[in-house]
Amino acid sequence: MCHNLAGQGGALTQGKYAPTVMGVEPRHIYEAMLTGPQAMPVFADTTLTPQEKLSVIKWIKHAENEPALGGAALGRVGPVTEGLLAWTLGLGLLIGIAVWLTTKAR
Amino acid sequence: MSTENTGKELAPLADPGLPEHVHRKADVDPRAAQRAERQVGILFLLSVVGTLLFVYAYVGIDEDLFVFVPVMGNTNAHQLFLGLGLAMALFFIGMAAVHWAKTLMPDHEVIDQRKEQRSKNEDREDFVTTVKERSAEAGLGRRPFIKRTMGLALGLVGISPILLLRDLGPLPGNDLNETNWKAGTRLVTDPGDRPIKPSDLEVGGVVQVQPEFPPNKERHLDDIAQDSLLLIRIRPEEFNLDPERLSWTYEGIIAFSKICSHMGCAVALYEQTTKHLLCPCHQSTFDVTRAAKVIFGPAARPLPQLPITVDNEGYLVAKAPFNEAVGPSFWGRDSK
Repeated sequence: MCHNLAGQGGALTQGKYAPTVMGVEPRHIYEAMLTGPQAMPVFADTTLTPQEKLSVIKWIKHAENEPALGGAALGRVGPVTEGLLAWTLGLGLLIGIAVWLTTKAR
Repeated sequence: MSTENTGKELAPLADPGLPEHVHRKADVDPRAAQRAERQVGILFLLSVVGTLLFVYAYVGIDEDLFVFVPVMGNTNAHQLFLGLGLAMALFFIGMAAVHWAKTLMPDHEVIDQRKEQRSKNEDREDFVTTVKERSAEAGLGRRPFIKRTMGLALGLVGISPILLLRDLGPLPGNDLNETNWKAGTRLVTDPGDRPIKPSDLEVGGVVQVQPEFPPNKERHLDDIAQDSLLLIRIRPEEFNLDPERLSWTYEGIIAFSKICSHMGCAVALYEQTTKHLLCPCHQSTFDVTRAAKVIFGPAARPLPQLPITVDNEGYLVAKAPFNEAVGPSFWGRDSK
């Protein structure tokens, strides 16, 4: 949702943003859900039970400790950074190779 | 410039021949040729290095090892060198071959005359005779039963896939216009299936909601997708609604479909301070105080609002189904 599926944080409207939840103490995560700081909505214990809040914290901690076994996580924001790498580095390399292939030998 | 005599025909241009051949360094200078040979050799050896790196990465590098790489951050070393090794191995074979062809392989132009397209006359006559004789031997003309049954079999098998077009249906009927929300359906929390009392929800709070399902009926993914609802509570005086829409709220609690009217993403990013709902996909922004009116982004219509009230046990229920179809626009949609 607002903080990204891997807890990396996300953009909101007009310059606001949801900060990353990586490296945040479980107590602070719990308090934030309960009180709804700044633009974050309130998740009262009657609608999101303490047990469910703990499940959320468990997920965040698990995601924090999970190594990027696939290779480079690139900030864990998915296609944005991967696309940047592919379009600049990848395409640049391919164009360079194409140019070299077609130059006349001296 | 020469002036031409109009009575005389123009002489055809003489064939200018091929442009002069430009010799490469390796053709002329034996030391350059040796240098080129050495370069090709080095490229092939680089490929060998790549293969060795690949093998080493597979057997020798621990899968949990991470190294820091300038542009990519912390990268899994096992994966990185497996990839780099194989890439090197394959790429340098190609590069060596291309470099060899460019610098050392003969590159002078070769002329090959175009052959005549039309076959020789005797070949043509042979062909006609063979076809006539062999088809007479096959004797289809003398065996009408075979001819007809063969035509029947081939024809039928050819048109039988048309039957599969039935799988393009069935037509959705009124499916797209309806959800599981009816008058009197209770609102339940999304994980947990708990009914909601108005006092459960604090001002500034948000709940993900699904309609209550009877215990014997199971929610399918289609149901979850179309029924998804967001319940938001603000102060009643902050509403900026006409009386009809206001009657669909309950003491500051308002319910909207979670499905974006643009492309169908889940609009669940609620900003408590501005009372705006943001869709993460294309940043359509909806104003909750004005019945999810679109204030930014590509969405063309506000989010459908579900009229809610309280039943006699004090739990929130739907007063009526959605006033319009949820989700993105489609042909045949009633648009207000």
